[in-house]
Amino acid sequence: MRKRNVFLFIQAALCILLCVLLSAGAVRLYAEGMTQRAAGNVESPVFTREAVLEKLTSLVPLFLLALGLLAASAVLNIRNMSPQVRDPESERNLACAGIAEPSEDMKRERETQKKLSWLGKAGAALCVLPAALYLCVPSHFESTQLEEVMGALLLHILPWLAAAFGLLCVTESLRVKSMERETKAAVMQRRNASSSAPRPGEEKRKNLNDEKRQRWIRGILLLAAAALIIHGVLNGSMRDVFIKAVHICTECIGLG
Amino acid sequence: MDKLKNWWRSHRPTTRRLAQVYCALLYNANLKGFVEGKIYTGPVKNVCVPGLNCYSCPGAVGACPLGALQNAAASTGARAGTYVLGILMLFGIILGRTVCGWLCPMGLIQELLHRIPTPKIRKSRVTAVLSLLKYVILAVFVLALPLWYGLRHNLPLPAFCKYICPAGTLEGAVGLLANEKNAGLFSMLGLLFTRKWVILLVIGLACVFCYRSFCRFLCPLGAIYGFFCRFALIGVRVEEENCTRCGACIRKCPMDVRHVGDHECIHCGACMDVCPTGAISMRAGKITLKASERASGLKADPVFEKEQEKRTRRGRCVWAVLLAVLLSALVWFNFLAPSGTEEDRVPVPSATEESTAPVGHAVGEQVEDFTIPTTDGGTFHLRETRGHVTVINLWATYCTPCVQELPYFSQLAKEYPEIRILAVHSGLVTEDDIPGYIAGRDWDGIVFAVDTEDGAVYSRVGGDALLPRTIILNARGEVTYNEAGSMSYEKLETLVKAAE
Repeated sequence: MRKRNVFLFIQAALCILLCVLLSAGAVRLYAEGMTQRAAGNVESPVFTREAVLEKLTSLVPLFLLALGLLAASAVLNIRNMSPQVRDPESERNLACAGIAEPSEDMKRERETQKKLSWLGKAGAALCVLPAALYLCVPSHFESTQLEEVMGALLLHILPWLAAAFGLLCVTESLRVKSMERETKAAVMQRRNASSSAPRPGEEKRKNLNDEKRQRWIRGILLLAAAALIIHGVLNGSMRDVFIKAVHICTECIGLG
Repeated sequence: MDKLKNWWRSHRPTTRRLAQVYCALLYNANLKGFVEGKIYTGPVKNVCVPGLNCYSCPGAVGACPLGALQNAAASTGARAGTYVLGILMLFGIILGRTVCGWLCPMGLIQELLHRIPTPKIRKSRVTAVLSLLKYVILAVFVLALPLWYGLRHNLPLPAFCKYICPAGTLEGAVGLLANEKNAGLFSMLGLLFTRKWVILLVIGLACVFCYRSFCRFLCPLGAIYGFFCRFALIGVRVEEENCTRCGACIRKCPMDVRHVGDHECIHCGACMDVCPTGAISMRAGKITLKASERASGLKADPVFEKEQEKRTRRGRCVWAVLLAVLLSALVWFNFLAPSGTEEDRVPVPSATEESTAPVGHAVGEQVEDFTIPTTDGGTFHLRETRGHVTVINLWATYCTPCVQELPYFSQLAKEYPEIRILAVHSGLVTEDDIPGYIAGRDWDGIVFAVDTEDGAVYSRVGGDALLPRTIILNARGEVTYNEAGSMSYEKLETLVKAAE
């Protein structure tokens, strides 16, 4: 087991190293190219095929080592552990299934979870609001200097998004804790009291109705899709797709 | 021998993996594109493929739905992109996120990277929250920015493609750069490429440690298909009456699902093998495509066995048909289809009197004479520019760098009035009113023209699928510069001075 873990960590280190070297190589080539341009040679290319190949060639031994380790792991059957995780919500649902009258503790925990869920959503919405407001102000997007616009966009949006995600993560972790407490309470109650089984008949009926409704919606959406495609063929938007697909905008694929 | 058999049993590709490889091959059936370093430009590119596959990949035979959606949003002012919406809706209703799990080449790449044996980051509440990020990216980068810049500034801005998409960098940029014939493209690489290359590597590294990181947290196409999760025809279904809500499916699932078949579920079917009651199956409407064998007693059930046999037979027939389709596609795109590349349209060269240089479009050669009607009602004769440095710019309204660099050409015309500047729009036009489009901008000093649909001017000056392209001719009509990529004013000025 320990040998296996060492192997996994070596592989991980190699992957990170390769990525860092590949990124650093590109950044370095860019920096060197820009220095040359700054020196007055405006026409000189930032990247050249020769320079890129030279950088890549220096990484070939590391690539080969990584490939060798990969082959060895396949032969020795060293694999990732199954990504099984605990799912507190399912555990809670399973523990609570069939409990007709939840205990006070369980009810309280349910309330806490509801409150936390709302708190998380409301807090996230509040955090996202300034970002949304920034997006809604046209003057922020008046300039066609896209690099500047994107830089400002990220600067104004990312902190708020990060705050929203942070808040959601915190409330979710608290909710999970509450779920675990509820599960415990449910298990205790099951031990003490008899439970009644859920009524599957009702669920089945509900499912049948759901299926029927879904079939209808699916049919309508299919018709709408067909209508949109036909309209697109007639109004020339299909041709637009073709034109964009056969003429590459060099910036769109990251060339420059 | 037994050991070898066991090894093969545990390592052999699953049906899903075969489907992923199949789709990657089918979407990129133009294998000769990799050899020639050119993209496929035939009529099949009218059709969007369901998965994320960059249409700038030399092998790509179809259009990328996400790229097409952004361009449709950017050109809403000209016409509504109903075709792309319809296609996405169709894929969503029929397949939903089954596309992500079974038919997406980017999904395949991410899963293969995740197979590298390293310690893994398991899903948690944090990853579940992070999975919301893709909706933000969809709203901002795929819809809002292209729509705003398209409508307000008439500037096409496929923001997701330009700033994030790793498929574009890997399949398009690296795919083209890898070919020696495209060595000239290296000269246009700069900050944009460096940034996108680093993004690609970070995403790749994240995929090694965290299952389908791009798909779970960033991919807007998955977010779109996720909206159809409740109505998709094909997908994993749970029979509620057999479900005990044990949660084994959720524990097994590497995605951030809350229940099987929700908007995060990619219908990979991994949960089917762990369901203790066999309540989960892969279905297409009422037809069961794949059922779990784990339900107790099911294996011994003759009805189940009969059904399973029927499914296997059906599966073999489907695979035979699919293989035939793939082989036909490979043969067609690589050997039979007309290439549609610019080379085919190059006319037979004829020598001109002023220069003894051979006719062509490479540096040192002289461009064959042409005449083209201009958008202001006049005519541009290349021969009449002899004695002046001439700059020819190939552009299109749907190309962001093209539109952004044209002011530099206008500035050049003001600074150097003796220089002749011709901007030729591609013969493939998405904007119905090109003169109107130009009139709304301050692009004085440039003579504008629209090429014919068969690319008469483009073929003479060496224009290909890459835009923008700038060609500079000296006073004798000889090419001194001919490269694709965007231009800065400083570079343009230096090149023009060199031509003088």
